[in-house]
Amino acid sequence: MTTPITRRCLLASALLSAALPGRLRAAPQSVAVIDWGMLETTLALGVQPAAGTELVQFRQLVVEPELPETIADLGLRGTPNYELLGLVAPDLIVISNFYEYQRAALERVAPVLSLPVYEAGKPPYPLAEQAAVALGDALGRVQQAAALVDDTANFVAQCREILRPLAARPVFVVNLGDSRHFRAFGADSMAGDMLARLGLANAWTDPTSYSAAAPVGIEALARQPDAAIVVMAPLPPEVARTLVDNALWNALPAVRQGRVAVIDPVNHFGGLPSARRLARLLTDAASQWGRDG
Amino acid sequence: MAERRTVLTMLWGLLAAAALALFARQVAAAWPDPAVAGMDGDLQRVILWYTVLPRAAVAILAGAALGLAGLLLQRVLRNPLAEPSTLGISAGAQLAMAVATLYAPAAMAWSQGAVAFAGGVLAVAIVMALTWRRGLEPVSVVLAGMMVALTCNAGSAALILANGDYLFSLFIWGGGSLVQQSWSPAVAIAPPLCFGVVAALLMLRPLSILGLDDASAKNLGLALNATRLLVVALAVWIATTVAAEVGVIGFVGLAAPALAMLSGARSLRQRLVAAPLIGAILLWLTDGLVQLAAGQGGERVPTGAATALLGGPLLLWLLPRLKMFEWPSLSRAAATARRSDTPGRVLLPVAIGTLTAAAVALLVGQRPEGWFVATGPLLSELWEWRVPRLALAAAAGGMLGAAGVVIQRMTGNPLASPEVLGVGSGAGAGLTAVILLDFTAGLGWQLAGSVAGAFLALLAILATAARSHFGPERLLLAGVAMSALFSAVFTAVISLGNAQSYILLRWLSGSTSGATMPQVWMAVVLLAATCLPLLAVSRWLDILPLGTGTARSLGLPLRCARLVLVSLTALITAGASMFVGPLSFIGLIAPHLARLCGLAGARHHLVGSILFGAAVMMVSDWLARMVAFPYQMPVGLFASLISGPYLVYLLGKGVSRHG
Amino acid sequence: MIPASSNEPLYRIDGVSFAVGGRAILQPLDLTLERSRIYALVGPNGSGKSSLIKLLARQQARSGGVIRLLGRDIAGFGEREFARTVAYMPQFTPPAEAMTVRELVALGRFPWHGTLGRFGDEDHAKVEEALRQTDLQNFAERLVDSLSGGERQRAWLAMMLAQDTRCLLLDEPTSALDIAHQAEILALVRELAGKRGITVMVVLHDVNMAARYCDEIIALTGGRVFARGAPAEIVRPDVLAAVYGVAMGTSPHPRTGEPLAYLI
Repeated sequence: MTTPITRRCLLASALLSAALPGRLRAAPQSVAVIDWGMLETTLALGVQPAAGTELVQFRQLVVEPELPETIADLGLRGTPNYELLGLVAPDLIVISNFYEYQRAALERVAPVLSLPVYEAGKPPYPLAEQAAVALGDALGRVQQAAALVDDTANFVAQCREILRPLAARPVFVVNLGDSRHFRAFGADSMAGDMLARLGLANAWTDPTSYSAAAPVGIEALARQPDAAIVVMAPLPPEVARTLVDNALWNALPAVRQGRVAVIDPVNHFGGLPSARRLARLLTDAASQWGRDG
Repeated sequence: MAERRTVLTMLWGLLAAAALALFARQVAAAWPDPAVAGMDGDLQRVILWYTVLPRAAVAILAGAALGLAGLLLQRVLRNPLAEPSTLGISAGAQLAMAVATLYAPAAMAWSQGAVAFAGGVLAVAIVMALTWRRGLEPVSVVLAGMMVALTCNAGSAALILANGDYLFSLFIWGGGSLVQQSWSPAVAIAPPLCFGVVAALLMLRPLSILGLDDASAKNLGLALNATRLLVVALAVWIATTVAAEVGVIGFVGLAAPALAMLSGARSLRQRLVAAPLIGAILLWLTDGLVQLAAGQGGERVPTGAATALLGGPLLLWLLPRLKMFEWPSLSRAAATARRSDTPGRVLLPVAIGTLTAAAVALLVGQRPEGWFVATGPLLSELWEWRVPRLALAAAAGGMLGAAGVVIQRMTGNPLASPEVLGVGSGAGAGLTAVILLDFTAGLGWQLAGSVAGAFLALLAILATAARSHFGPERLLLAGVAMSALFSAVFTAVISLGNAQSYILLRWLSGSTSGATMPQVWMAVVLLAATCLPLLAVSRWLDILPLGTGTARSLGLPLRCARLVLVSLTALITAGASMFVGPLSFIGLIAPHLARLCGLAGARHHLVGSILFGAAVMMVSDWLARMVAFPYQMPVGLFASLISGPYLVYLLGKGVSRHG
Repeated sequence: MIPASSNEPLYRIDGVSFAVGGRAILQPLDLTLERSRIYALVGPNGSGKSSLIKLLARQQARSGGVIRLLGRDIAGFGEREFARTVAYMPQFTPPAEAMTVRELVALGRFPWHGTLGRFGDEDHAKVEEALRQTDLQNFAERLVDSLSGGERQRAWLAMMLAQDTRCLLLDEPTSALDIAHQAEILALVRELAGKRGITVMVVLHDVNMAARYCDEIIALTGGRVFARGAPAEIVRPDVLAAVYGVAMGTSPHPRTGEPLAYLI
């Protein structure tokens, strides 16, 4: 937690800088990040943001990169605490296209940088790369951004190499809503895009809305009998108990033949760090089937 | 009569045949066929045996269970509108499951059904406790149920919003999907259903007596309360089992017993057979149609939302045809109305109180280090955040207060309000239509949609009421039906889980967080533009509570007056609910608070109610910011939580009627 | 205001009928009501008394025929214009929550000042006059709902007087009152009608009350006017038996000698 003294200093400096004619166009000292994908990207660039949103939940669902304790929690992503944001007085606020509706309010605190990653129908990975570069540019971390883009690309390429024996195998990446329904990640989600980058095929080819389809019954997984299934955590509590009794689930070829994996949670709307985490988790899961099958 | 019954029985037979035909079609489509690429016969057999067949079984069993639960509840509460969703049982179960998912996952893993049952029992216990002193009088029960349901829904919406995808399961659950992959839900629903039928048949005599009034029942030597509680518990068990297994399925419990009666099942024994059968047919048929309409990508509308969409209009149609139990009229309860001879001197402290609330909300706040009173440069920093949302909250609260006064005076019904009559939800439905058509629609279009929705909702309610000579009770019930209908629309949209659902969720839970000065000006202009004309026509508001007969004989231009008032109310309600969501009950309580202070004349009543509405909303907004700092809760939730206890007091005290 | 000089009767009813959902409540009927007279409308339940008075008060729309008020079809009157000519009291007066007697009576001035008009000196004077004539001055600041049944009926009557009309239509104004208050209200109506020279039509259940306080009795049965005339012409065993469908007798009042009806 920030101490009151630094906060007062921040406030004073904000007031001071507001009084100055025009802010210095230098790399911002203090950044607030509303979007989780941009928050992880900021951290990956080696910048400590002054404030982020829903940090309790972030630590559970996004997991990496690890959050320093000093970041102020602004509350919900949908309704961030603007007062607190005003007290933190960042020089720059980073959002994504999801939060455009907050722009008017945010701009009253500081300039807003909005970086789109998820747009309907577009694969997000290239956009995540562009966002990382743009963020690096804005934060004065151009080299770190380039390195992040390259490292991640290299890592994905390595994973693809590992998975070469499984090339073109169809895979469902799903999120279980309850023990009867799932939501599949389509081509315009990070998971779907990553499958393609890893040389696997996305078994879900139907249209999606906002990266994931509306919930459907588990029987839809039977439509592609040779597909593998990756279930992304978290699982609703009752699923662990009831899925084992689900006769259809147990009859799916993927289940019978052990082509099912449950992976740790990944930010659904993440940036490059999440993409990298996803690549690692998917590769770990898939190489398991490679050995077994 | 007998002939009509035969015709109606045949009609049900035909509907059952239609459901069966749809089922046959599903079976044929799923029949093992070696020609289908890649799928071996085993898998195909599993799909047929574990998805297609159990789904039909669950539809039939759940429909029957809900029909039975509805019949039992309606019987013991002597309330033709009692059913799991109008009593808040479903909403209570949903909130319990949401809370358990977050804070006690072990309980959810152990038994979802038990958690749902606990929530449902708690909800119904609250409703019954609130209305016990009024002898469980139907309108009070339904109102209390609605209050509990709306508050629980606000709580669930807040939890979903606050936790994002984690409560994805609750989206599905709220929609009520009958998708199956095993026989276990069917197996879980069967025992309470069978037990319920047997128990109901064994208790046939006590149940028949419970249909009489309390005095006669006691006279016949029935242990009234024990029997009643027992039957309610049984019904809640049945209903929450269904809810835990497949989610919220609305209206079947309401419609099945009513349709059974209209189809000629007169004795209780006949109804005990007919209501579950009709419930089963209704749900099976609806589910068949949902599957027929489903594409490859999944079902467009979950079955539970579909039953509600079909059931809402059905209810509006049923309402004038339902036989209401003749309740000892609460309308003549002794009026202990206070009134002040110097309303100006009452308004002054009310205004000072409202300003004090504004000042506290403006100056007192939290930061990570703790509480503080803002002064100096810090205040000017916070000023620009707190002023717009406070002003917006105040304006919206004031608008709801004004709308409440107009609706209560126009209908001569002290329990009417924009929220209760479904006007706020109507505004939401209009808003939904706009954002579904164009996701990026601006504030102007959103307001236009809301106004149109509110206007149509209010007009529909009043027109139905006028045509069938509704008493004040039925007017309220029609309103409750209307809100339930719109809630079903919201559920259907929310269960799609797309960007629009999040807009709708945010709206449902009511947030002033993003308030901007243009919005504030819009709200203030709207408040002024609607309330000044209302003040000008305050004489209408003085005369209208005396009933249409008096109004007409005094030469009040009724048609014109009603049109003007309905339009203004729709405009006010739509504006208010667009800014703070539909859940608040402020439109209900602000007029009462003003009356309680002795503001009796329409003009003073209106001003007082606006002030009270503004004050309550500002306090709610402040609490919403402070309670979970820095996380901001929905203001609508707190407005409901503040208004709720007052409503309880109102119901407990015995409300006097205007006319 | 309609000129009072013309010699048209107050109401002229030609072939007026009324039906609800295909069921005829009033058969086509003709009737004239003269000025400055008190009419009682009697008849068994379902005979159409209430419907007829509601048609006259424009509370309901007729199914056929014409009702003329001072020579003009009542459908042609503006709302307030009509309310300045005819005042109507419904069978059940609604509770007037938290309203004082004076406020209630002042509502009677609405047809004169309208929605936005000023409540002027004349309005004040008429309200005071109505309160005085109904002897309610001491109750003026009391809440209407705190009054006894008889006092409350007087307050409503005062409101109608403040309306300053040519005609009062009262739908069973005494149904909720004990006999003393019934007499009090009807005596008051009679006295005031005389003083103001207005026409009154009052629906009554008790034919003896009707005979005692009214100039003329109109007996309805089955939606038709069975008989009309002075009390002595109506309070006769044959007429009453035909109207009410039970055997009834009459005997002269021990003091006044007017006929009194009783059940046999």
